[in-house]
Amino acid sequence: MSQLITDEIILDVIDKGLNLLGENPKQALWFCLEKDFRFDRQKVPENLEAFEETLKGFFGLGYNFLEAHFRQQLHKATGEDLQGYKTFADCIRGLRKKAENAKEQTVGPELRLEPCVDSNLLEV
Amino acid sequence: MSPKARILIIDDDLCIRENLAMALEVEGFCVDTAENGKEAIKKSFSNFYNLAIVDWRLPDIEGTTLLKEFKETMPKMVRIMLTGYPSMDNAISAVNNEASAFLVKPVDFDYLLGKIDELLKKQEQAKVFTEDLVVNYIETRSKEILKATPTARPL
Repeated sequence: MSQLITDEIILDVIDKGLNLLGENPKQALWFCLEKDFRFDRQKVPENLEAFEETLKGFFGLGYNFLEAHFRQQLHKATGEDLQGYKTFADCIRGLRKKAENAKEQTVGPELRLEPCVDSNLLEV
Repeated sequence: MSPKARILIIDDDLCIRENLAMALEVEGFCVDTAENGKEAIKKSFSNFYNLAIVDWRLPDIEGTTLLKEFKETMPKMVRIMLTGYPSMDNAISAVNNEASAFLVKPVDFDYLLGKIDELLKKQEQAKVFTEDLVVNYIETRSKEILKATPTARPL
């Protein structure tokens, strides 16, 4: 069953993926992202597109290696097949949707309570 | 010494392969072996090795050709060439294929260990140097991007 992709999982995947650069470059990158680009590390999971675009700005085509590493780490963390997704942000979006669908199928759609109004009473 | 460095030994002689592997494992290295070039290339694709000890003559491939292959798949890996047939031609060929060291069989283990230690230290220094370059690159690139788009997007 698809597990819920929490922010903690995403941050951990990104952190492990950035290990590809080496420890000092990773710290330098976070420092620049936080100081110059005003990224809040904890809010990165909510802003994955902007995060990806910024990394592309830094590394150009080299970002593809990082992205492949992010995917690899995400696959390790979730065991999900990530083929077919264009970007890392797409992967996360897709997995979240999958988890939500799985949850809905298990629990069933939420019961909606409609107001019960007798139209005859209104006429009276 | 790098105690957790990963070493790949490629030799068709089972006796050399096993004895060398055992001795290096006792020294704290993580050792893997391959008996021919094909197996070595396959392993180099799926695993990471800091250093390879390559026999000159392998059943399916020349040791020097294997050095070339490794240069493609793992450019930073240290490559030590072993040979039982020392000659000037072999030595020149090993140097041309960028072997990090060229040793003659039977190998004095202490000498080999010293060589491995020396080469792994150099590899570590090169890694630190490369990381420094990447840090410089990141800092410079950050300034360049900010100059081009002064309003960095706050999140």
